[in-house]
Amino acid sequence: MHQLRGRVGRGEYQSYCILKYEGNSETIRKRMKVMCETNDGFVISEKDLELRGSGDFFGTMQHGLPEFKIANLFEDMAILKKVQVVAQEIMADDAELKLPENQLLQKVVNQKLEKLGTGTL
Amino acid sequence: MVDLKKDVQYIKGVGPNRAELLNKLGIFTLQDLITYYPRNYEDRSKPKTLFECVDGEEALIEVVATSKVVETRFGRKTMQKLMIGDETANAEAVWFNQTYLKSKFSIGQKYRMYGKIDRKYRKIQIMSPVFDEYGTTQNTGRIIPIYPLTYNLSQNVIRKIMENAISEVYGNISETLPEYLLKKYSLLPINQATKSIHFPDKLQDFQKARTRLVFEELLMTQLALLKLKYYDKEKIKGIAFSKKHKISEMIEQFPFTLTNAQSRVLDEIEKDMESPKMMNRLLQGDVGSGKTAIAMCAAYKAVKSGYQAVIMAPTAILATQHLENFEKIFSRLEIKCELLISGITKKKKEDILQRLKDGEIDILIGTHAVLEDNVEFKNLGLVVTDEQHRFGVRQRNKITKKGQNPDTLVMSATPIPRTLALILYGDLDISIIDELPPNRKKIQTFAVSKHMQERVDNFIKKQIQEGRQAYIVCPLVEEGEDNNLKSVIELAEKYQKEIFPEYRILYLHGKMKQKEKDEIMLKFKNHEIDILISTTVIEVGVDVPNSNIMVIEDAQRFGLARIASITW
Repeated sequence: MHQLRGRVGRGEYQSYCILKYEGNSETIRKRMKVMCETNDGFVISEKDLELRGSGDFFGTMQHGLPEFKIANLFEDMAILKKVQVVAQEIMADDAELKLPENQLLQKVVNQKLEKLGTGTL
Repeated sequence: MVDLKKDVQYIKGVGPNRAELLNKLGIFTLQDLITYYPRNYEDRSKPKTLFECVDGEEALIEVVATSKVVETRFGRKTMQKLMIGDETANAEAVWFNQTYLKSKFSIGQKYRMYGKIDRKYRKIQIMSPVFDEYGTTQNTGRIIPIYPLTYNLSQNVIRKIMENAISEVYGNISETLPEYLLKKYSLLPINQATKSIHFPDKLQDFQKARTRLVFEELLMTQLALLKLKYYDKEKIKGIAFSKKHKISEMIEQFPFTLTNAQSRVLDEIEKDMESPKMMNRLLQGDVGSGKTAIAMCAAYKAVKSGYQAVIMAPTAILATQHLENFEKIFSRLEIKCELLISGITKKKKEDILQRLKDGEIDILIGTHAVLEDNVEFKNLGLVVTDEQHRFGVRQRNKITKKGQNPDTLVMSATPIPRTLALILYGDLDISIIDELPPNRKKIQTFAVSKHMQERVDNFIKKQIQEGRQAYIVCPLVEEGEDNNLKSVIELAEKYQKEIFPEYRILYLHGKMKQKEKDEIMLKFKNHEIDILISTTVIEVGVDVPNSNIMVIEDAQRFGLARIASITW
């Protein structure tokens, strides 16, 4: 909705966004409230994540995240945060994944890169 | 160790026919099969007494057959009924068109059944239950995985195949995560995780298995992106743009002052450009935060340093809009801009390609037409891709190869939290414009329930009478594109016939040809239409400053923000 709303407010005139909604669930009301209260995309995306995380799933086709076989970026945010710290640590010590203990990682990472179309680095 | 690349056809219980069906699910190898994870589980391990069963729930019951199966025929259909009971109550098990069941039960024998309970008044039925003879656990008595899409394979068949596969691989899969990570983060070994994700002994078990598998998947993705970034930075020699030509010279050309956020971002970009390392930067900023000005500044620096720049937009009409904005500024500076989109004449195109090759064009603006093989630059130094979700990593590589490792700036109008940005754009450095220009009026937003329809309509009428225009967006419906089209057309008809017969209304839909979409957008821009009814395709649209109303129908069906997508 935030991106759609961005289509107006581009000229000199006061602009309006009208959200017609049905239903009275708490998540719906919260979402409407967020939209009415702020125009700040970063605030909205934070809230979006919180609300999506709560399990009330809507507009699944909208977010278009990369496809994971098992991970779900909304539900697995806690694991993702941990993983990002781990990944940074590994890269800081061994950016090319050449150490013996990282051989397994190198193998899978190269397969991933292959899939991305970049070839093995 | 087991060969996970083995063709799925050779798994016990598969064979050529079922292999074909599995292929349709994207399952070709043993590896694909064991990573086809359940979407849910049914706990068929805890029995209830008939007395405890609640109407509508799915339950496991342990009952004795008290009759033979009685078959009733109506028309072409048959119904099978079996009287059952436990110490708390009597009930009926009911199936449809399952004639073979007639010989499956013996009076006095104990069975476990799992199915949906139908309980009205004092009558209890269990509908189309799966069952086992008491003591066996083929269909009941344990936690059963439920798989996503299975095409013509029933859950039973796919489960059986999975059982065979797991018993073949269990204990034989090579570990994929280093020992030190397993220890430090208490992750399950791969063999155990693979078994428990499909066939957990207890319901909690799958959670631990899942954590391990999610950890691995996210870690490998994150590492791949970081490695890509590292490689770009350390192993590739990029362009060091001139330190003599400062972006600040360009800023003086603007009829407005930059926000602090814009200035900060420009500093980051200028530093990147002057360094001999290749720039790979994502610029995130809300719509209207002034990303185009940033692109102009970067292009200016590139051109002044003796290089060409290319600006890619997702649609022809957006590219055209960019060209207009660029020319306003760059024509004064004698920097030559050109537009390359698929709609232009062959002659014009050939002319552009030649001048591009000769270095007479400084800034090329276009759609994915600029990716074609025959587009050659003399000296490409900067690539700006707008709304990168329309392009994806592969195409990004393609354009990068058109120069000697040009610097790249990726623009995104979808602000996302940092954690997500790191996994979606982990190969890029990230700049953020988190501030809007001070003179912008806040868009007033109202959430209204449906019974306010008339007031909303009157409000729109008033604005249109004052000369404004409106967008009305209807949501994507899940049942497929054709239904989307239908819902847009229906809504357009309703508005045109019943609500605003006096106004000019057109509709826009993702299934239309690009040319058709561009034409409609142009009509709206030129105020030949008052109201544009559309699906979410207008999200990436052109500026229509005169349009000041956005109505979102069925807003409850939309997410708050789209998270940018990239093609993997």
